[in-house]
Amino acid sequence: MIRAELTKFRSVRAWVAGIAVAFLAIVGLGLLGASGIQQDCMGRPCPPTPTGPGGEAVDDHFSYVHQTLDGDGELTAHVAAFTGIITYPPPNHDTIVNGLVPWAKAGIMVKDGTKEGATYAAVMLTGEHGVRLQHDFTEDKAGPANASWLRLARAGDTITAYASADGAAWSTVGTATLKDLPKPVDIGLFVASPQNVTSVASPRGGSLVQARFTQATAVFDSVDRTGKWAFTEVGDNGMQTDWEKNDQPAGFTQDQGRITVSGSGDIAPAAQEGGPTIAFTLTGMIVALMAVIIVAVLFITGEYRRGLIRTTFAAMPGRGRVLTAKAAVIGAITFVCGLIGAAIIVPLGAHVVRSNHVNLLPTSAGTQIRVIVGAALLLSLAAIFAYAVGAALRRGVLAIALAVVLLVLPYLLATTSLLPTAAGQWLLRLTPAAGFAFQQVLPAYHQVAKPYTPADGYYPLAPWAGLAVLAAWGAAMLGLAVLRARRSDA
Amino acid sequence: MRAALRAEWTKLRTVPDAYLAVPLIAVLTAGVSVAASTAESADVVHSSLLGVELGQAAVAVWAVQILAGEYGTGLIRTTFTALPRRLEVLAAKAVLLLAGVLAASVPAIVASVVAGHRFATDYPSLASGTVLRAAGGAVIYLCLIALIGLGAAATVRSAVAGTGVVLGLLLAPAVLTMFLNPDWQRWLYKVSPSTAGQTIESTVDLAGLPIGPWAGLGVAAAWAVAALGIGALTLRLRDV
Amino acid sequence: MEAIIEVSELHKRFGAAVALDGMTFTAGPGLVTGFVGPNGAGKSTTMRVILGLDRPDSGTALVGGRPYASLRNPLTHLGALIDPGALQPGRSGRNHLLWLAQSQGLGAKRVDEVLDLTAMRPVARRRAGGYSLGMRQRLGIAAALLGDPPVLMLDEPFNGLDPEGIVWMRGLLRSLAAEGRAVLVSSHLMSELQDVAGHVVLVGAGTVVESSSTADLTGRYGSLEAAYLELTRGTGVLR
Repeated sequence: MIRAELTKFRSVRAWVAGIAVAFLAIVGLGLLGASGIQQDCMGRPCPPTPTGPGGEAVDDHFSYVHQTLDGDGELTAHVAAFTGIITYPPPNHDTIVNGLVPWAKAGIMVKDGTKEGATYAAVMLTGEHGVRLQHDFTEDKAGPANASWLRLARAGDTITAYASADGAAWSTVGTATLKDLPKPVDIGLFVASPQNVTSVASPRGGSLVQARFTQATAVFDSVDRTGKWAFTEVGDNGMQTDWEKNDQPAGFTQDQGRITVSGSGDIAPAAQEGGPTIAFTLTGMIVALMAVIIVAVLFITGEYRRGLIRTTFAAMPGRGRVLTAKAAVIGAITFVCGLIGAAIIVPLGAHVVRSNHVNLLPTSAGTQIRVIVGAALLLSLAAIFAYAVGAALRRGVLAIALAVVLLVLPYLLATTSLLPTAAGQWLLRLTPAAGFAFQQVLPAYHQVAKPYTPADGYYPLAPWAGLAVLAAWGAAMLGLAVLRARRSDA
Repeated sequence: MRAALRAEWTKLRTVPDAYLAVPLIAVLTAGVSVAASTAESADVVHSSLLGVELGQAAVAVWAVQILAGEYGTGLIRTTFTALPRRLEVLAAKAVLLLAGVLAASVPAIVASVVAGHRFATDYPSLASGTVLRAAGGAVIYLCLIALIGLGAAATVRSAVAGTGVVLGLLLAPAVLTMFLNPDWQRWLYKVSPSTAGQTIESTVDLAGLPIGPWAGLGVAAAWAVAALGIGALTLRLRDV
Repeated sequence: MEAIIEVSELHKRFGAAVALDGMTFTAGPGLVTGFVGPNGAGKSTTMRVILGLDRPDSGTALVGGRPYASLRNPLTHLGALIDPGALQPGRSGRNHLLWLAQSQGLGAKRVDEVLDLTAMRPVARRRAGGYSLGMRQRLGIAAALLGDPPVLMLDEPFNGLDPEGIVWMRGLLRSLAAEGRAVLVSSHLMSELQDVAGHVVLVGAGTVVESSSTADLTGRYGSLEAAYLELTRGTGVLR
């Protein structure tokens, strides 16, 4: 039965051409899009984005007052004051205000040197999220909300964090294991203050992310290690904001056991401002999608219109099985088309992007495969969905319109910020457009204050969950179609 | 031409398509617009016309169907047997299509801006030049989309493929721009009928947009002319 | 206008396939001309060329001495039944005829006349999508008669008719010819035209194989059936 349907498909030149268009769109538009991506930092190629121990791109920029710790040991300090400034925040944009952003950080850190991306563990006080134990950029553990005494102890590869409200009664925040930590490491006090970020809809589609400079200052006292402290602005790019030039640069002052540290930046996994992800090689998906939707709808409504379906049902009386076999055929053809197209363009596009001196955010092989298979599945499930709508409605034009309105339009409305973010996110949960979630390459982290909106490439559902929603729509439509085929005349 | 118009009018009123399409265009356009008018937005006038985004899809579907539907049934051969001047048929269909789109979009757009004026904060006066330009432009824009659909239908001669192509043309550029670098984004914005054409609804930060409102509407008009031209040529030259 | 179809030296290819290869014949007034040949011999293509639907690579097809496309209100010059299925299923038969009438500047009165002529009045207000093949044929005939044309051209009019319908169709064809009209009727079955056609144009492979009066053919081959088999042997293009 599947072979018969495959033969039928192959023998219509327009359908084969439609699939070819889809394939060429994925590869051709993908190449075009990849070759057009540019990136520069003040007119020069950007320095490579640092990567953390896990291989992911990271943001590693903070003020660090440190000394060498050779072997095991610990450091205790009391955060006596934690203040900061935020430059020109909305809504009025015209003043510098006092205040801390929610994830401003001040605390104690053990780090394998001062190189960006080096492994670390830190216990810290934050602007609004209490005490945290964070390590290696992606890991975050909450501690008590009201402590101001911090202690970090190193024993081999294991770092243990403690917090206390009064410096007498201590509780354990947690432990972190830093793999292959060398014997000499740096230990010290640090301050980081992420940018104040907002995302506004761009009239040209997508969003414009606006980031404003902030700075935090922490006063540590009762610092229990003596010896000479060194200061490093980790990840410093040499540039200074007006505030740093005219008012207060990043740095530290020491008065006996009282150390004041000022700094900016964040210690966190990088988001898309670090550079494009491999999802940007899939420029052509939308055109490919339109092409397969058209072919898929024609694949079934063509039969109904010309009465061929009567011949088909006469040759193969199991109507449910015929409709399912056709769905399998259109699904398989589009899957293969998408798989080959994506398997070519994702690595090829990545190569083109890199050869343009653009920092493509590193992604694991697993993620690359997920994106490639996801693209193929999106194409395939979308084709099955469109086919099933066509089979249920038996009206080609209605089917095309409905498939596009349910699948493409919600994606468009959500990702181009035409709708409020929350409404867009609901669309991407409930409509077949949920399938686009596979395009999200970078995970969202709760400990990073970034605008994780669809317009920024972050979806409300996990990749497989999104594809499952699309599959469910397809299955439901196919069910309707089978029901209708059984109940009514062909 | 009068006979062609009368015949096409009878055709139009004796099948349900138009009775579905006209209210659907009106309801989609007005409904989405009214729903969006309360949302916070940098451009309240543009937001209050968000329904055009969905309304244009309905317009395009109907416009394609009105001609390409005849290819599906084979009726087109009867039509061209009775009216061998094929461009007259195209013109008659265009006139009736535009009349239908106007009948649907004028009340819908009026409802949209009235709702925007009532619910949105800082909405300019309904009689102000900007609102009149945005609202009037939205109506013209929908008419141009109808003509693009009709031209595409005459070119591809299949309702399904025509609908897909036109919807793709309207929606894909907006998605594509997300992936492109800013120069190409601006270029694509300027040349694609939906993004350039809907600039006519923008009332804020016009200088920052890649193309001006009227020039943008001109781009959509150029698409309509090109689509109709290619469609007319196809009608004349190809066997039915 | 003179009731005559003149087809001369029509050539047409569809890609590599030759559809018409010098098709030349005339269908004159007062006569049913049978246009007979195997499937794929070029009958329908010739008819579409006559109607201006298809464009020949070379050659001319004239209706009353003029190309079809140049006729004003063409259905008043030539009535054609090409594809009875070519209907919008949602429209009633009467409304289908109504828009056709209006396209020729004719009124609704003429629609009712042809509905009566074809005995379609009882079902005229039903959706055409629900018509049987026979009803569609009758509706197609009604459309062809709408303009009371001096020339009629019917492609396979017997298809889908029940025996009663076939008898009706034969009577109709004969009476149309008796009124002095030129009637061109295509068929792939010679037997259908027995007793109806006064003249037969036999075609094969896009060209005319034989064009003679029925009397002449039956005289030479015994029956039309025998003439058909003898003359079209080896010329059929099976597609």
